[in-house]
Amino acid sequence: MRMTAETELLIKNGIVYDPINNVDGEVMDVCIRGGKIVDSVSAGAKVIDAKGKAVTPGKVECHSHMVGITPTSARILRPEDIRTRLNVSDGIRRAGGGRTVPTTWELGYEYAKLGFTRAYEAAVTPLYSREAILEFNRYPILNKGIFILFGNNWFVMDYLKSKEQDKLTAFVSFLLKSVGGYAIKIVNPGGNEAYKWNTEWNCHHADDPVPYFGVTPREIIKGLCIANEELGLPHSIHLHTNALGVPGNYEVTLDEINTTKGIAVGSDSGRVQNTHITHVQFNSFGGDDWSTFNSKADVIAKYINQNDHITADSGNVIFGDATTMTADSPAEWALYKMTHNKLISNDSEAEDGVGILPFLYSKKSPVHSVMWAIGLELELLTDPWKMFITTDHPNAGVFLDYPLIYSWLLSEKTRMEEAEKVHPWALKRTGLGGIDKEYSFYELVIATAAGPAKSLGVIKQEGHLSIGAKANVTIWDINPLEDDLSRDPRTDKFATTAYTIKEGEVVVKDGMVVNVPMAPLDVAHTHVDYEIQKVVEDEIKDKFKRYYTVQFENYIVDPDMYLTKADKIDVVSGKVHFIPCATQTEDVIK
Amino acid sequence: MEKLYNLVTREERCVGCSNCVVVCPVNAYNDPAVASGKGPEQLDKVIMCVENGVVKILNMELCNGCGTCVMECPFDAIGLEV
Amino acid sequence: MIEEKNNVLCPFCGCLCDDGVVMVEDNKIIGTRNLCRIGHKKFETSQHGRAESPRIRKNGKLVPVTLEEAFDKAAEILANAERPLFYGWSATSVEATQVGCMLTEACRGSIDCTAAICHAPSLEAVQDQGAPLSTLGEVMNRADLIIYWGCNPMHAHPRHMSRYSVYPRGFFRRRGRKSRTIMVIDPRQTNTAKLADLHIQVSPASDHMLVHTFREIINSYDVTHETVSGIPADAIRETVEAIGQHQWAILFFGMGLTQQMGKDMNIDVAITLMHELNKYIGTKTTLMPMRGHFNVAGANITICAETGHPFAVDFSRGYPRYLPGETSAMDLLYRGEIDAMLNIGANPGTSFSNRALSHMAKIPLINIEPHNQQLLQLSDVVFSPAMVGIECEGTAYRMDNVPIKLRKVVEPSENCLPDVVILSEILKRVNELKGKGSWSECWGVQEGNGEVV
Repeated sequence: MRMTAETELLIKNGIVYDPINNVDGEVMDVCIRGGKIVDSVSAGAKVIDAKGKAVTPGKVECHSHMVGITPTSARILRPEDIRTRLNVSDGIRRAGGGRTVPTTWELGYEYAKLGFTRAYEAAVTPLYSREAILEFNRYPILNKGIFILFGNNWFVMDYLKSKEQDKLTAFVSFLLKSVGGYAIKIVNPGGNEAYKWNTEWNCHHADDPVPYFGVTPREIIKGLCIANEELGLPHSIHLHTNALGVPGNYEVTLDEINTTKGIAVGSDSGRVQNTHITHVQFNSFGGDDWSTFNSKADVIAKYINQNDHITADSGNVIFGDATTMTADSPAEWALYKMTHNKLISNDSEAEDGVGILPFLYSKKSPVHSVMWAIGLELELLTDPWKMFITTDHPNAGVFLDYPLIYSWLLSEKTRMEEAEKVHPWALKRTGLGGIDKEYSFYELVIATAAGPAKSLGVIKQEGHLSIGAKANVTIWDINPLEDDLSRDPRTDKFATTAYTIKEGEVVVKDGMVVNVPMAPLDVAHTHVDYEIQKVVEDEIKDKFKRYYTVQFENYIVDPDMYLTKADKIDVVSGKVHFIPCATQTEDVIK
Repeated sequence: MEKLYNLVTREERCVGCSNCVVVCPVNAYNDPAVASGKGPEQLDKVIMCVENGVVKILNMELCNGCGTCVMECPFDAIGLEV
Repeated sequence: MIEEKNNVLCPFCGCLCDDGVVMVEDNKIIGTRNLCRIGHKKFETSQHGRAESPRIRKNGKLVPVTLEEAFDKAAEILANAERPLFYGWSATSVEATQVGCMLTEACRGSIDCTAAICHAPSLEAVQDQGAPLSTLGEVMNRADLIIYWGCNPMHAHPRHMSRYSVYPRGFFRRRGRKSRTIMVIDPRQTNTAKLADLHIQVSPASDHMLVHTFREIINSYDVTHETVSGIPADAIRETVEAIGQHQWAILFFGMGLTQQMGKDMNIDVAITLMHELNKYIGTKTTLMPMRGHFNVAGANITICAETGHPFAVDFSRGYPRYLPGETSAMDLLYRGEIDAMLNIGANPGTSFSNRALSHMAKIPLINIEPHNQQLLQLSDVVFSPAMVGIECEGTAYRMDNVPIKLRKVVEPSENCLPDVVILSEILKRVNELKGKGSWSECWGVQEGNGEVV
């Protein structure tokens, strides 16, 4: 019998882990009907026997490069990548493949197999957001959202220069909803604008002024954070700090995340932070140069633990082939000079940029080995409610290898075995050797599902198994009550779920994709005073002629054409309202 | 005051490239869209625009005869006649 | 009553100008403003000479049939073919190309676009060297050195110089033309060269050597011959020095480099030159291929996001394979491998070689094409679609890969459906014939805008 959204489902006797509700390994039933968790179902419900199996909320990918001009340029750049992993269509899955830059269809299938039910595209510049939306319409199963780049935007810098915060806030509100975005993304604020003049130029510190505009990264971060909280967006600003990848950058990181301390959270979405710092591993470097390079993960972890206005994701390095892709064009330029690998860089007018470069993380490399250890240190030393597990896919590693990271966190033995295989600096230049903490299964669920759901502002709907929540549930062939994950972290059992259930539909069963619904895109709609909105729109329209080579009317993403399958996250007076799209996603296999 | 010159166009030579429209200092001064390379929005304030694929003189009286358009047309599709 | 439609995108060349004004009266296009001669021509002739219904060749003649019969026949041809080719895609929408990829996969065929005979060498070079790119607005606002190499925008992209690169008064280049230096490298004294500050008349078929010599100088070697590619060594040295005097340079290039001796090797070395200008000289440099069709960039991007490769993708083994030279359209036709073909949004009747066309004459050909072009003589099933950007909406990508929405200015005739609908109808029937049931539906064909689920 096929599972549809209307089916009643009874997940019987599973070992439930639901951190938002403080449920840590209790045997209980989970009932689903109409795509939601309910408190009971009828006798006619389809039963899934989950005895001896862990049951958790679906995982949330808080930062990954999947759709838009950046990953697609990388797909064009790397025909060799798709050949490393090929799949024939089987009547349910499309043909495809790819490892660091899979096709959009592959990404949906493989993330679902890993137990993810929601994912966010890490960085899209507004001019190209139409492409990200078109490609997200070809990305199956998972709920999704887009982070829109603001950190090098000319209008943002103009309003900061003229010190008009209210207009900046109005601009952010206008742009996010006009291009179908969910959250504010800030990458290397100011530095990418500098790079557009000369590949050697950058903003290295929080107070380095941007050429011509004269504003500083600090001002950009603060101004956008204030705008974010004034608008009450469900997620906080998502920040990639300056000086990424440079030895000694931990000082810049601390400086910049301290900038937003004290700005009150203006949203009721459930988040506690006003700043999310992303792939922190790359920004936790100590030393003055590569020869003195060491880890400052402990300092960063301490700051994050002591300050509630921050959440973070790790950006773990996993050895092997990766494809770096980031709006941080100066960082990519530095990698190009180091490796001479094929670099694509693409500067977008008046907005931001991108750089793409294939990169190999080698176990023999002293630096890469330290980076590997830093990622783990960050996770082991920081509260998992504030440090989520990512690889900044595909920058530091491929999401398909997430189970390797879990194994290193769950089992000290396994990570020490790995540490012995890599360069000795992994232990000499970091504190990893002295950490004996091991993650419990519960903490893993926090760091991959509950924590990111809360930070991203979706816990009113999902990220937990409360009555009324969306039935995004995963069942694992793992028994944390009996299996000694510390001795054997069962990497294979984390690689695919026994069941992935997406809003009540079974989409993955025993590691096979069995159903491919298409979920809507989440778009944030915020509101400001009509007067200021009108003033700002007039100012933008005026400047638009000079800044851009497209017409203002054509820059706005037409919602009737691109966003017919988008859920609106409407924010009114700091309160989040969820407005599903008019046409519900239909069950597509008949 | 009578003008000493006239802009003449030779439509059969014109490809509608808009070089003349955009480079014209009068057009650029009067219409910010043209200054930035876009088609004119203020048709009463520009000397010429491109209509139906070729150049069309709209407001000859605005022309001061600088000849910049003539210089930037490689097809000899626009000229100044004394 | 005459209606003026504003901000209309021009669906002709890679410039994708989006400030077009189209005058419409009683559903007839009666004029345009701002669009160049070729853009205007596309609008002006769009509603003339259109077939009123689809046609099928019966007893040697193309006869009008119903849409149903045409869909059925097309699906029958494709479903029964062993090695079908799906070609074109450059003059249709992204949405149609997405369905095209599904159709190719369902038929285990090959999909290729016009880039294969145009800028494919550029893509191949990028796959080896990467590329420093930028959008056209960056050029408008920052560029003080514009290099046109092997292309003639005054003929092929008429508004390129006035809208993007040379004449606009950019934010940081307020004097427009006077803030910039124009360099044209072309064996001919073209109309673009007439506007240049410096015209380098390189010998035909020797551009590779010239690029390489630029690189030699930048890498601190000296020019080893008195004349290279027909240019005296001193002139070459002065040119490199002049480039270095500028802040921000862009190289626009076309068929003069991509379809000439060296092909992708020309672009390869040009990209390396760009990287080296950035690295050693400190002149910020980017490059941009002058894409011909209004959506060829979109075809590459869409096919790549869907299948993993930008063109010449073969699904005969059930997974995507990419081997330009083997799986590209003309090569497949040369080897006589193709036993059925679908052409959409392209005109191979004029652009393919006779050898390829003579094989196409032997196989069933489905042609989705609004006007009666040369290919009609070889076609077996012909659909007259609603023209995208004129009679229906869609998305197209500009030459700098910026995606913009194509507008609809007039209603199409009754039997003229959007490409995306025609392809979806064929796909539905192909799946039924192949016994896959509704497999295609699990691939999420979206509703809205007349697309078929």
